[in-house]
Amino acid sequence: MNATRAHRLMIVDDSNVMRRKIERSQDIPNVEIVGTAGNGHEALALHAEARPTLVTMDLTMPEMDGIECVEQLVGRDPDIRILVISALADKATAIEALEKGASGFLCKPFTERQLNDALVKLIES
Amino acid sequence: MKRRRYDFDLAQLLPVAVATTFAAVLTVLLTLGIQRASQLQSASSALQLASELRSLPQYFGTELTLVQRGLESRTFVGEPLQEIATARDGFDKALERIDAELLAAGLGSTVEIQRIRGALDAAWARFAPLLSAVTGHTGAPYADTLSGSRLNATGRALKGDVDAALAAQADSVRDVGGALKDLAAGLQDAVGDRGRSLRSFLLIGAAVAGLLLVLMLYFSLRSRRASADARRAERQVADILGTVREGLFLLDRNLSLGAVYSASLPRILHTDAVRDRAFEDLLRPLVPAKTLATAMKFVNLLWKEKVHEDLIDTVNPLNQIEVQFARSGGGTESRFLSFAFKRVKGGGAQGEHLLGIVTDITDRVQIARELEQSKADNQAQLDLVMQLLRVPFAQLQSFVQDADMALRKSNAILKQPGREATELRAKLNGVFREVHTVKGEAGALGLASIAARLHQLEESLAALREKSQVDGNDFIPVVVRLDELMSHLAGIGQFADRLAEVQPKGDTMRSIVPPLLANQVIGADAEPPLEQLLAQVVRDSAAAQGKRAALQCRGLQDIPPAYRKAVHDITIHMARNAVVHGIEAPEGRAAASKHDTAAVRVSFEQSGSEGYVLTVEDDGQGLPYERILDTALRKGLVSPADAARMERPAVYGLIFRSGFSTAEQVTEHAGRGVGLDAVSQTVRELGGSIGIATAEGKFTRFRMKLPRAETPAATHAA
Repeated sequence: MNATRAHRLMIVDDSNVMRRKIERSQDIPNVEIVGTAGNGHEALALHAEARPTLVTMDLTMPEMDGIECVEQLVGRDPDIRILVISALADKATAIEALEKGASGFLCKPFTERQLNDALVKLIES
Repeated sequence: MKRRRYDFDLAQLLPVAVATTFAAVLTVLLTLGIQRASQLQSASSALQLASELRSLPQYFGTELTLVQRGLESRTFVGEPLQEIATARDGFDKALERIDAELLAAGLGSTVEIQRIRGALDAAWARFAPLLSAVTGHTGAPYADTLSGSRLNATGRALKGDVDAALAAQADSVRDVGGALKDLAAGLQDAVGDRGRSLRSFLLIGAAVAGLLLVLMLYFSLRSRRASADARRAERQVADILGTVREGLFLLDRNLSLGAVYSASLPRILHTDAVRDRAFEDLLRPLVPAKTLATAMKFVNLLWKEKVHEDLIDTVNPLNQIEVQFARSGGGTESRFLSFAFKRVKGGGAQGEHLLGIVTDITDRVQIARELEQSKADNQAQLDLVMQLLRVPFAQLQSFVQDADMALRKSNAILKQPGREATELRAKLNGVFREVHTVKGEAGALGLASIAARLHQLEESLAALREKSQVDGNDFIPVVVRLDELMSHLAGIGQFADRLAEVQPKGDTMRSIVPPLLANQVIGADAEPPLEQLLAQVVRDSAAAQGKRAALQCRGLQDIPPAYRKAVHDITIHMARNAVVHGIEAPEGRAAASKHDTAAVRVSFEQSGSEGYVLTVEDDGQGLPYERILDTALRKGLVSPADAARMERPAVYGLIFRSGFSTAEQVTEHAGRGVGLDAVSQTVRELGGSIGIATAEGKFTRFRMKLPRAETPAATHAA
C-alpha cells in the first residue's frame, strides 16, 4: 500500500530527538517517510537507495553540513523538494541553502501544524 | 490570467472580424445584385425585341401581297421588295441581338429557352430563304410591248417566288409567331425570376447592412464602456495607491522600481527619488552592506520557481530593520521598517513583477519593546518583592530609612556649591562613602536589586576617582543614577509601609515570612536579630571605611516589644555613625596610642522603675567642639552672640538640630551627623531624652533615656 503514496520523505537532522519529532509530527496522508539520516553523507547514501522526493534538512550537522548536502541532492535530482529546518540564527545561511536549490525554510522550534503546513506547501512548490 | 489576456485580445479582434465578414458578404451580395440587375436588363431587352418581332411575319404577308398585286397590275414593286429585304435583315439582326441579350441575361444555357429559341430558328429558317428568293431578283420584271407590259422571265420568276412565299406565310405566322410568343413568355418568367432574385439580394444586403450597423453600434458602445471601465479602474488604482499607508511598489526582473507605487512610499523611505530606481540603490543608504547583500539574494530567491514564497518569509532579512533618517532640523531619527515581497500572479508563467510592501513599524516595535520592558519590570518587581519578603520586616524598614538618609545626604553633597578640584574631589569621596555603606547593608540583607544599583553608582564614582581632572559635568551621570536609586528606594519604602499595615501587632521584629521560607529568622528567638544586624552594619561600615571596629552589645534581648522597632532604628543609625564618623582610621588610632580595633558598644538597660537607658558609645576621637560651633555659625543655626554664650553641652546638642547634619560637615572625618536629627526626633516622640558625653580624642557616648513602656509604642515616626 505504501507504493501508492505519492511523496517519499527523507528526514535529515543530526539530532535524534528532532528526527523523531519530525517523524511523529508528519501526518500528511500521501507522504511516506522512507528514511532518516544524521548527516550529509548518510543522507546521500540513503538518497541513492530510497529515492526520496521530499527532504527535511538540518543545516548544521557534522561531517557534511546541510548546505553542501542540498547542493549534492539537487545535483542528483533537480526535482527534489527540500525544506530546510533550522534555528534562525543566521538568515544568510538559510538564504544560501535556498540559493543552492532548497524550496523553503522552517524555523526551529516549530509546531506539528507548522511542519505539516510547510510540507503541504513544499509539495505544491 | 492567461484566459484574461485571451479575452482581452478577442474583444479587440471581434469587431474587426465581424466588420470584415460583413463587408465580404455585402460585396458578394451587391455583385450578385448588379449581375442580376444587368441580367434583368438583358432579359427585358430580349423580351422587348421578341415582342417587336412578333408583328413581322404579318408584315411580310402584307408586303408580299403588295408585291403580288403589283406584279398583276404591272406596277412598280421595287418599294415593297425593298421593305421586305430590310425587314428580313432586321429580323436576322434582331435574332442576333436576342441571342446576345439571352447570353447576357444568363439564359443562354436554359433548356426551355433554348428549345423555344431552336423552334424559332427552325421556323425562321423555313421562311427566311423564301423571302431571300423574293428579294434576290435583279432587273425589271416587266417587258414592255405594244400591247402593254407583260411579265418577262424575271417577272415570272419573281411572281413564282412571291407566290411560294405567300403560300408559306400562314405557316410562318403560326410557327415564327408561336415561337416568338413562347420566347416572350419564357423571357417574361425569366425577367420575373431575375427581378425577384434581385429584390431578394437587395433585401438581404439591406438586412446585412442593418445588422452590421447594429453590431458596430454595439461594439462602439462596448468599447466606450470598456474604456470608461478602464478609466474608472485606473482612477481606483490611483485612489488606492494614494490612500494606502503601506509603501507599495513593483519590482521588475532587474529589481528596478517602475512608475507605479503608492504615495506613502517616498514618505516612508524619506526620499523623493523613487521612480525607476534600482531597489538596491534605494536600500543602500538604509542598511549595512552585509544586510544589503543578503536582502538582494533573498529577493532574487522569489524568481526561483522551486522556492515557495510562503516558506521563505521567515528568512527575509528586511523583515524588521532599523534605519536612520536625517531629521529636517538636524540630527537623525531612528525608524523601524518592514519589507515584504510577493510574486505578482499572471502576466506570464512566472510573473514579470514582484510586489514590494514596506511598512513603518516603529510604533509596533516600540510598543513591543515597552511591553517587554514592562514584563521585565514586573519580573524585577516580583523578584524584589520576594527579596523584600525574605528580609525581616524591621530590618527592612530600618534599612530603608538609613539608605534614604544616606542617599539624601549624597544628594545634598552633590548639590552644595564647589567648583574647585579639591572641593569636587571631597564631594566625590563623601558620596562614595555613603554609597558604599548602603551597598554593604543592602548586600547583607540580600536586596540584590538595590545592591546592583548601588554598585553601578559606585562604579561611576570609582571611574571619576580615577580621573585626574574632575569637572562639574562629570557628576551628571552620578546625579542621574542617584536619582533613579532614590526613586527605587522610595518604591521599596512604600512596599515596607504596606507591609507595616499587615504586620501582626506587637511582633514587629519578625518577618512576615514564615520561618521555613526565610532561613535567616530561624532561631530568631534564641539570638536577637538586632545584635546580628548591628554586627553586620559595624563590620560592613568599617570595611568600607578601611577601619577596624568591634561591636559589643548588652541587654538587647530585653527590649520591650513596644520599643523594639525604635531601638532597632536608632541603634543601626548610631552604630554606623560611630564607625563612620566616631572612630579613627587605624593609623589615626596608632598615632593616639589606641588599640587599632575600635570598640563600639550598644546597651539597653532598665533604669530603676521609671524607664530604660539605651547607650551607644565608641572609643573614637570624640565630638569636635570647635568645628561643630563653626558649622552651626556658618549654617546660621546660632547667632555669633549666642555662640559666645553657649556652654559645651549646648554646642554638642547642635548636632541634633535639623539642618546641621549637612553633607559638608560629614565629608570630614570628625563630623557626626548622619540623621541625628531624626534620632533625636524619635527619642522625643517616645517621650525620652538624649544625653551626650564626649572627650576629644577619647570617646563619644550617647545615652537615651526612654520612659517605661505603658502601651505598645506608636509606629516610629517615618
